[in-house]
Amino acid sequence: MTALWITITIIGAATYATRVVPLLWLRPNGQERLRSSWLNRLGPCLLAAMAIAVILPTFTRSEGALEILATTVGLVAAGASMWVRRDPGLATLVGMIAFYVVSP
Amino acid sequence: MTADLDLRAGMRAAMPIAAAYLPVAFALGAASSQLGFSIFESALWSAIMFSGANQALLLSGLASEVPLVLLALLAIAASLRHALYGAALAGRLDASSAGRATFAYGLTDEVFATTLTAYEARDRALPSKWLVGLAISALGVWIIGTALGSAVGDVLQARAPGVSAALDFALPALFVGLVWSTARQSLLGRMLLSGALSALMIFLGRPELAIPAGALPALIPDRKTG
Repeated sequence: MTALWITITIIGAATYATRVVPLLWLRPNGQERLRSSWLNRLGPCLLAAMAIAVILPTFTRSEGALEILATTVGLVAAGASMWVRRDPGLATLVGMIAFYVVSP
Repeated sequence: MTADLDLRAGMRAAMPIAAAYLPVAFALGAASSQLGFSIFESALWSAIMFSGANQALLLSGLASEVPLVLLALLAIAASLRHALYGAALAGRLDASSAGRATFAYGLTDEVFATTLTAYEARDRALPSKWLVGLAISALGVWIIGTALGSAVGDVLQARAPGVSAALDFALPALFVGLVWSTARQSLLGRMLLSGALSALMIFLGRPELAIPAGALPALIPDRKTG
């Protein structure tokens, strides 16, 4: 058990290091420099990749047409909610409700 | 500082993340019984690691009798993607070193996405209080969710599977909202390419490379105009 907790602590410390070092180290001088740099493009590109990494497995794990339909309806409902009002929190709620209503 | 970016606003911004985290933390908490953890130890485990991917890796690795040293190395390698998040956000924060250090403890995939979305919506640097409110709320929900999962997770999964499945859907729905908020015309091509590369890695059976591969289109330079 001690070895497990030492491993947990090492992973936790290393994870924190990967999160904190760039935040403390990288400080671009002003917005103009950020606007024109690749770092400005990095965030949205990462976000698109993360979205696919989260959404795609919900389809590949589906066990039947109705589950795929529920997932599709939930995603479309979340998108429609964003179309009406740009609020990711509301879109999450709307998507979950739509998924729940349609799911088998 | 304006009120729309204070501590409470940061906590409010964490609410969609909370909806997405609860079921995952629940499941991890319920599964942590196989490590012989008490409720307190489950909560402590989440407080120290605060990474669903790494915690799931630890659970599955131990079940497969993978050596702890190898598990630690794999987890650290998987965590390197966070360096990209820090790099992308560093210039978008108007925070002290203490604020950045506190925020960094909670810089998960979803906290990164929410922070980026908030910046894009306001087009100005985000202050310490908002960042700390967001990250600490997400961490708190994660810890509470794991503890609850350890206590009652198995019971909920068995008695209300429909609700449990709907909670699982919170994460995909959240990402629809976050991507929609961030997408802009000048980056649409690169974002589509990022998504395609991510999908390719998943179909090739290398999901751990999906996010790093998705970072590559950011290196494509802007087309010169005029």
